[in-house]
Amino acid sequence: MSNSGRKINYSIRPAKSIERKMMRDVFSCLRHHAPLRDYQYIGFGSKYFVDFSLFHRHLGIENLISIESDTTNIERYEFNKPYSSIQMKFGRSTEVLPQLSAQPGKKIYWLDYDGTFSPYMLDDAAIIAGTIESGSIYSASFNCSPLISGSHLNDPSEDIESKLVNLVGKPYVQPGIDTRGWKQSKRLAIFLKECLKKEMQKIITIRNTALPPEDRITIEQVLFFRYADGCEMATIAFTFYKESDSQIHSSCRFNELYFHRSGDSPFEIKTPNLTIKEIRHIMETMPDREKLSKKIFTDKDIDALWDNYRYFPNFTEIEST
Amino acid sequence: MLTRDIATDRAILDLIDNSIDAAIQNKLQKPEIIITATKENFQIKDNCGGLDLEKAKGYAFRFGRPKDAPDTPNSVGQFGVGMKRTLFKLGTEFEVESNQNDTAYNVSVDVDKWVNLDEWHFYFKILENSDLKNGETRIKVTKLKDETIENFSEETYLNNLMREISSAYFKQINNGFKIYFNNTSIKSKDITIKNSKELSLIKKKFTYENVDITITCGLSDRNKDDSGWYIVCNGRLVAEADQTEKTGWGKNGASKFHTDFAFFRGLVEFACEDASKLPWTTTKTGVDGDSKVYKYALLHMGQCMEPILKFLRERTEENYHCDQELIESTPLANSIATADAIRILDAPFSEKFIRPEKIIPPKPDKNHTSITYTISNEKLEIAKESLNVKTATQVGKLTFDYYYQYECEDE
Repeated sequence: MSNSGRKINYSIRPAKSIERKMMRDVFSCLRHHAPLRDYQYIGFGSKYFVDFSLFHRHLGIENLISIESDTTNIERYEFNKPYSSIQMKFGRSTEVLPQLSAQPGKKIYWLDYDGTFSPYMLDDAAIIAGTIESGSIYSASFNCSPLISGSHLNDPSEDIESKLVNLVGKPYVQPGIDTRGWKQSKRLAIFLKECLKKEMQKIITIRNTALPPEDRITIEQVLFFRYADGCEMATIAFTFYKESDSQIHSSCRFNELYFHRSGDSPFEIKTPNLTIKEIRHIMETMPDREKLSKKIFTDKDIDALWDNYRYFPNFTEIEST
Repeated sequence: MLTRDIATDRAILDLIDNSIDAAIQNKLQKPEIIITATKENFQIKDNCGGLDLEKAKGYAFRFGRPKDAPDTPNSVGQFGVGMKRTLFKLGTEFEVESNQNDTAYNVSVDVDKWVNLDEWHFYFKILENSDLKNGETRIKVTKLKDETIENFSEETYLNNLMREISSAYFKQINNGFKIYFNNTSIKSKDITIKNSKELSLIKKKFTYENVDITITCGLSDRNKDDSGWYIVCNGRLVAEADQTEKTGWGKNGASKFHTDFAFFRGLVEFACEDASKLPWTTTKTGVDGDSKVYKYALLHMGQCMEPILKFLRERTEENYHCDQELIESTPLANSIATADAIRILDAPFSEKFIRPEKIIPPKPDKNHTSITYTISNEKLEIAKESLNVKTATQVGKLTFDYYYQYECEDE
């Protein structure tokens, strides 16, 4: 959201690009619930709408909604829409989501927050959980840069606690919480993921008490990514299905995707530091790893490319002299 | 004795609850309660059907409520603390007289004597002659406790008590229940809500584990004290103009209460034959936030309230834009002002909140800049009068034009 599009062109951030295509494959699993063209996609398209183009082209979703909080450049966003079927909703997500989520139908949410984590993101999750239907998916990306305690304070533990409160609000921070280990971005990512899940579970539990057993909704985590295109980010996704749809849910086979993660150990999206010529060479030579010169290629880079080569972006270099 | 955990005003409301329950049970057409509270005595008389002698013996004058007590469907007096606790709270000598099915009887108790007896018994006396008509009950406390005398001597206490009665039974009074307090007929507190073709309200009804839940919300006149959620359980108001997290403000994505939302009114009615399922606290002074039915209602309250709060946020914005002279008309404010106010209890069902669209002000022109400066209010008022305008913005604009015309323009 906001205006971070000015800083970075989303289409050339490699980890993001890999992630986007992985998300596409996750969303595509939902076709067992309903044809994907019947789904509505709700995201933050910014000015680039890269995710919108991808999901429109590859998943055939026509009903696309982009939430945009930057209301000073309305015309520019409208101008940059790659498809006329994209509807722009201007306003902060927390203001716009109640109206969007109240409309019936299966939905794919990807709230790609670019700012620091903030309690309003939990509010968004609560709003979505209030109405989300079986067969829908909620995903969110958020910053999980490690907490650094300020050195000017005498009590660094209190500082960490108050920082956590700033991120998620008091209800999710246990008073006197163990303040060690927050310099690890992974620890923070798990914590934030769990806060989002608990917030949604709280609402779903209330909804379930009023439903007959076959309509009761289960939340299941299917993704937990961590990557860094500059700053440390995490992406999570939860699917929602009612008891009577559990057969359909299992036929989606989310767990067969190699990057599927249902627990606290994230799938790390690593991007190798390689030139285009190097990438081409590795692709031609692999899996015959021995033939790759150790003087040019490190194992780390080769693995990073080979792990996700199907999702690796195709860059073209144009040289003009 | 268990009287200290109940306040006098609550004790009196408990007595009214008993009368109301009787009226509902006996399907009374014109129920009436007459209360007299002076520093000499306290009396409550109703025509709600009378107190059955056998029941009185078995239940009303026992401590607590025995398990085999007959059900009172849709009752408000569900906690069965009964009359005794209330009466013991108010005084030390009392008399209950009732006429049911043309059998009149009375019970009189002198607490001071009675506690010294080995066996606790109440004596019922059948009356040959009674001034009570069939179906009437009168409870008199003839010897008041010191603190009760103190309370009843204070005008402010009595006024507050009347207000409490008016709020707590606003629904019953609205439906024709008459309550007189020291010869004054208590008027119901009217909660109103706006409804027109352009501006509607939301009213939904659903059932959760046999509890009927009706949610009504929308807009009314701006009033910070009256705005918020009202919660009614089997007709009895248990929370009034609530603006806290308890009714969902600042929770699950909803905004915290703010004066911009002073137009908001919401009413949630819980009704159930089995009063123990209702989400009220035992003192009936609030909602039980832990109750499942309440948590479920709260989710829907939040969803109903959201479009109304969005409208109100936009109204504030509209007001600001209008002050800045960025827009000329104020359709949102106008729609509130012109809509008819109806009683919230009479509101028709409406799934969707109908409202006018907001006007988006034109983009600020990049060739223009706004100037801000501060002057004393006194000078501003003088300048307004001199320029014959109403707003500070107009003063700023015209005074600048004035300077420019004389000092900057060539010709």
